Amino acid sequence: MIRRRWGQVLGMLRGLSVTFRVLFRPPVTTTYPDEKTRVEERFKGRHWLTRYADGLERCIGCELCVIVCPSQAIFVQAAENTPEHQVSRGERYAADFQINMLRCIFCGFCEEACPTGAIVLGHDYELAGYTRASMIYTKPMLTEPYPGAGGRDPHREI
Amino acid sequence: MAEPPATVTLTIDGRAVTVARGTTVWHAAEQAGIDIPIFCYLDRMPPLGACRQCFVRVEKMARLQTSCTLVAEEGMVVSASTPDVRGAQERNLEFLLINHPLDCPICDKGGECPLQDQTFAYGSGRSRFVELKRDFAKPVSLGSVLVLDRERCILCWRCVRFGEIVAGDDALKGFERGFQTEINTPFTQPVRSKFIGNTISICPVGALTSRTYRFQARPWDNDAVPSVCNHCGLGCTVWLDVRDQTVARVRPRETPDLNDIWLCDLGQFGFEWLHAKDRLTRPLVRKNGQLVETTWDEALDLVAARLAESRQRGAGRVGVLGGARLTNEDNFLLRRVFREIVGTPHLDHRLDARPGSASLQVAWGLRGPLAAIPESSLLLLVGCDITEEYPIAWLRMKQAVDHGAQLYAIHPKPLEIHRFITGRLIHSPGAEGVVLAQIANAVRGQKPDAKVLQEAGVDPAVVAGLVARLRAAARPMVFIGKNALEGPAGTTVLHAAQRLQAAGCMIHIMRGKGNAVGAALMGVLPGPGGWTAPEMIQQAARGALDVLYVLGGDPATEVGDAHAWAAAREHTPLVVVHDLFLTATGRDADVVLPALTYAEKHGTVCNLEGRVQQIEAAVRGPAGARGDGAILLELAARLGAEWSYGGWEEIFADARAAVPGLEIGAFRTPPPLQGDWPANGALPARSADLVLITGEVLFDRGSMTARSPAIADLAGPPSVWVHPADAASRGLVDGALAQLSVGAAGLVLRARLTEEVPPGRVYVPRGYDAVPVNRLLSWDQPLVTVSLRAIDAAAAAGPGSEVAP
Amino acid sequence: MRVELLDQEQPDRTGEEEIKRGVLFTTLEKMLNWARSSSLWPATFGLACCAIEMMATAASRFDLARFGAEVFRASPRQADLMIVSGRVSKKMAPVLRRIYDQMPEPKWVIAMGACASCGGIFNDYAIVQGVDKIVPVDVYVPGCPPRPEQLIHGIMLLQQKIAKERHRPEDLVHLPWRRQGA
Repeated sequence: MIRRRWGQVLGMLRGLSVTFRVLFRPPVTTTYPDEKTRVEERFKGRHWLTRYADGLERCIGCELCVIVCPSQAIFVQAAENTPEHQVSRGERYAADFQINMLRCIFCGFCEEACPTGAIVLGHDYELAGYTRASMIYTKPMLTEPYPGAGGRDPHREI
Repeated sequence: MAEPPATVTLTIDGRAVTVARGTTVWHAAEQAGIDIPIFCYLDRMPPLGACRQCFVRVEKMARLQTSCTLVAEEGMVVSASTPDVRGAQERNLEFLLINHPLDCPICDKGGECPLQDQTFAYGSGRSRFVELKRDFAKPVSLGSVLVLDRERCILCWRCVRFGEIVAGDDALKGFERGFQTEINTPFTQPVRSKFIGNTISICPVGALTSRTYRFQARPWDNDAVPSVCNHCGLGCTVWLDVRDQTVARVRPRETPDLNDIWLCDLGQFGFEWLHAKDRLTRPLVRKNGQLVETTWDEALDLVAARLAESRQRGAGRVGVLGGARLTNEDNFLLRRVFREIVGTPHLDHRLDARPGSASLQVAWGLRGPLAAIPESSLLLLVGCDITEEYPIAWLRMKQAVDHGAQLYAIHPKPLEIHRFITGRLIHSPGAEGVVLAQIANAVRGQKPDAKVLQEAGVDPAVVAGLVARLRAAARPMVFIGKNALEGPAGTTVLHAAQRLQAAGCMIHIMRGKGNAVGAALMGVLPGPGGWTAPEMIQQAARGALDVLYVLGGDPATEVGDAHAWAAAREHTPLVVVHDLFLTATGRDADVVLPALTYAEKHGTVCNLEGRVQQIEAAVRGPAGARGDGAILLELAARLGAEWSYGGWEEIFADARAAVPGLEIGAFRTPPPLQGDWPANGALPARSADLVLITGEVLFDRGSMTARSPAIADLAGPPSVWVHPADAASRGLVDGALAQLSVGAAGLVLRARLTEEVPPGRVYVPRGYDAVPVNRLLSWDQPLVTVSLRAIDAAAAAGPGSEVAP
Repeated sequence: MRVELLDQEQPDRTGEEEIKRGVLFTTLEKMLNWARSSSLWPATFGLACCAIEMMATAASRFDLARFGAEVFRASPRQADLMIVSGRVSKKMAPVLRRIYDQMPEPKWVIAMGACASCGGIFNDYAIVQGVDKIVPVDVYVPGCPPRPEQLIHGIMLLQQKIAKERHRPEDLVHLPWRRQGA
């Protein structure tokens, strides 16, 4: 009888030992949003359309990202560069580039398919919004404001 | 000696394949389902063996053989997939790619490129070439529609041979040699061809691309919708590639017995008007002298009320013009509404006919299939500028010529295809009837009158040659065009043609654009006691009509006498127009209803062969515009008819009940010529002045083509063609402004000095809406003499004259 | 909006200062919005993989309790927030709508992840192309699935939205002479 009771108490103490052990450890709870969670280097978040170091856009409007995108979240309309209006290297550039962030599943296929390394998935993950329309990112929103703003080296070669 | 058997049996990759004698190994493999990669060979042209991609190993032959040029023989043992063959194919691709820039991401061919596909299937995946690639300046613009990228070219010669073999226009040629070989036009001039779009579709790489489609879309963006081109009357089958409710390009749709895999440039590049900014989207009604936008209800109520009012005043006070651009179903409804409800017999789609002209007295269309043309051994064109009016028919004629057929043309000016013409019969204007009558008589045994022929301007020896060949020819064909039918000698031409028909010729009436044959089939023709289109216009000018209802046509520019139409418009209280744009007719109309195009409607159309083909709506069209059939149904409902149609199929079913033999895919071939036409053997009086001849051109600036930048650019500014001798005597130089006047009426045009017009004549292309040549023409006077003088640019802005910059 | 507790560690303050420090003056509207936004009770509507992340959000590492939203209720009657996490099949759509209808007012909806927001990769016959086809959505959270931080970000956006809500006076104060529904 006593042995059985003792066994019960021991079991309880054994359980509580975990509680007491953890009690003096620092808390595991993250402090987000006060402190932003650091994500891994290969984390795939918000997209950027990057530029070369000279400021020209990398995107050539080839639409390979469009065809590879499993959720059909990308729309591209290409146009032709002119000497007066040189947007990217070569003949072709993306006159319009839209990504539906809601459709996007952040798989990174677009980044893999991109022949010029124009589209990259950055580390920004705070993307929630109030309306569907606000979640369609247009070309001015996607294009990095200055070379390297998207977090990638503008000198990198593909 | 025994006849060799008709078939041979060979072994390809261990499989016994039996094919007809003369088949190449490549075709034999294809028939057996064995894939051999190839670039240069296209089965519409003879094999060449330029690309070296189709290598196979044949037992007992020393080297690898190109299978496209190797004729299969009995007992051949061919291997198409042994390691050495695969290795050769792989190395050949590696060689081809040495100078290929691999700029697939920006290349319009990317995604539908044979070179990509073959490299994917047979290539090695990596290149050992590390040196600098061949470098050309690119892209090179070759005119309004073609863009050349010489770096991508793999020198398969398909485009060059297309110009030599299929189109006969030698538009592109190869220049330089070896490493520097390039395809180009001489001096990189803008390309001059009516079929250059086809080189884009047969180019196995992205060396030739389209300017209109440049960077517009990728193959995976497009939904291909089957449709039928509605420009000329041949009804070539096309794919409309649609991206986001916009037609991005038009491609030929393979139909072996119609357009095969070809399409003319008008069909291929003349589509941008579909999405022109100034498409009408709201009905317009004239109020206080101004056309103002209104609602559909108000416009339709107004039209219905006026039609009902006219019906009460008596039958036959409403005239209907047009229908050639509508579908069969629209035309069927058109006839039902106006014949059954409004009760008028005055319907006609033949807007551009002259009163009493021969076109009004004969059923339009080919009397046999287009595919039968190459079987003919003699082709006679009478007033039919085939490359300008029905270009795809020319490709068939070119085939016939290649098979040894003789081609003759009776025309008041030399044709573009003169190189292929056995005998030119360039007659004085208006003499085509006399010439054809002489020929018809001669075929039946009479001796041609050399004096008359010489007076008509043709060489009697050529006529004699033609007559001799006509007697001996197999399936001779006569193509009678608009120029001959609408000319002063139209009935004489028909009279003579009927006799040629009796002598075994097949007579084709090459007349009608769009769905003209379908409109005729659906009964948009004068009923009992009804007036033809020109009669309607004449009667309207006398105030005999309350309402003129115009659909899909622009009488102000199409009717052969601008003054007659102006008078008709003036004396008709209500002119209703269905159109896509505010045309010259629309600007003067009382009600303008925005309609839809062929690319926005489901239904069926007929071509000149009478072939019934289905079209599908590819795009929605501008919001606010409605299909012609839908508008007519609304009118019918307002006029008290209780019709209910659930779609085009139900209208088509009704039309089938009314027109026996109307089935999709069926032919409603018009009957042979049968009539009693008066013949007039007199030659028109010779004139010392310049005689004006007009004609259709493929590229013009009409309501649709002017809104297709590529076509408007190909057409160039409105011009008058003058022989250099005539120009010199008037002080005209090439490209200068010239005033062409008939009495008080005048037009200012650019002079084009060319020997394509005989001296004593000037040629003005029709179809330029801004400078309508019908202002100079008159129904009363079939042959117009004009005065031509040079003017300086400053004086050009005179009244009644418009100049293109 | 922050509320400070009475600080009793400062004995040298006068009573008036004490009141100023300890009593917060605000409008009833803001008070109500603060209360609502700080105690969102989500209904469990986990439909697919996103639900795993939603559970992780509620667990200790991300601790949704920090935002007063940890009380996932199995009964819609006790919930005012529906986090639709996962693709909504057409078969599930009426169920979802019914549960939404059973939730008492006021109530909010977060569409969590690509599928709930717009169908995601499942652009097909079986999946509702966005839960906003059935219920009004307040916040869309992209991701496939979204990280817990992304969901928390969405919840914070929702809190901001609730904080800005405007109310009619009769909704805030029960006026006995105004009968409900009059």
